[in-house]
Amino acid sequence: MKTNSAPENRTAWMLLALMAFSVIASSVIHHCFPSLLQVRSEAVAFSRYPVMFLLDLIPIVLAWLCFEHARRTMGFYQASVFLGGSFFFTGLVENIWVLFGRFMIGTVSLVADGASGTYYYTRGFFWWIETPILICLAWFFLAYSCVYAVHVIAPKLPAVLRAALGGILAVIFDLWLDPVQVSAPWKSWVWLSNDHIRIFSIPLSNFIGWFLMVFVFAWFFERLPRFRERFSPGVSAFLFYLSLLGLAFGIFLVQIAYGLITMRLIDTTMNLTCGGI
Amino acid sequence: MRGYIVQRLVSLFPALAFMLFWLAGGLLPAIVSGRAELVVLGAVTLPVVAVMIMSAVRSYRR
Repeated sequence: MKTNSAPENRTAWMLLALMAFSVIASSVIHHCFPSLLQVRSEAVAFSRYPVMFLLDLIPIVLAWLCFEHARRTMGFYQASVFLGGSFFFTGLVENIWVLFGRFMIGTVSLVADGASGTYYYTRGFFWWIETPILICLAWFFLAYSCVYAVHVIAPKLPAVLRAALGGILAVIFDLWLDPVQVSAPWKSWVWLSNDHIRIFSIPLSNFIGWFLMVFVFAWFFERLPRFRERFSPGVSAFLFYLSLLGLAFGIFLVQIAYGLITMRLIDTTMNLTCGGI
Repeated sequence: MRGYIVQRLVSLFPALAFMLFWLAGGLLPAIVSGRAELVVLGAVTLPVVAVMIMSAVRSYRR
């Protein structure tokens, strides 16, 4: 097991504390002050508080499995930076989309059929802003397990290819996960996007986003040791997260450009379907 | 000895997390939805499942 220095451990604990604090604050705001972020109320199954709490325990346990593995192989510091980075990175991208759809969408004419927006989540006990932690944690352990699997099977591949293959594996899984989770009675999230290209009724932009997020995150994470050689643990983590922040907005802009271009070029909705899905 | 066993078990955790989520987030909800086509669609994930099983076997043998 890799051991860390005291400053590394301190940085790691600070990250985890920041995560816990932001989740508690977001969850209180979401449940107690829904008007603040104009939370959409949706009558969906499994949305009673005890049920949502139990459903949230599943990703927490699965994330712990990957975190424990990361802690033993990379050390507590790198494992925490990976967890915190993937949590905030994916949460940030998701929140940008959800809130952009909720508050800003009319300004760029990305209006869906009668309803404006991108998508929104319907249930969750714990939230990070307007994204359930289920999504952030699922992204963490899916990205971690996919990239780690590629690392084990093809250790000699360059980091950029490993990251790309990890992203492809995650997208292949998402091809199934999304149609299942948006189907009745689950309706874990609702799509309002008017993307004209769809795969199994899910907007193609979703899969592009998944690939880019896993690929970019995994690729940049490989650079963390280089930051660590030159800077203190806190500064390294800060620089890594700053890079992620820039990348998150980069991905957001790529998807906006994609949406605008496809809406101009394609008039009808195309759906790659299987069994009517 | 105990540490060795724990280390081997932990090496399976990433693949285990993926497979449990495959079950809890994919297969079970697909069955509960009552739509057979959603269960059948799960076949698209077979390459990922194969990669996960291969990685679990390899990391366990290391």
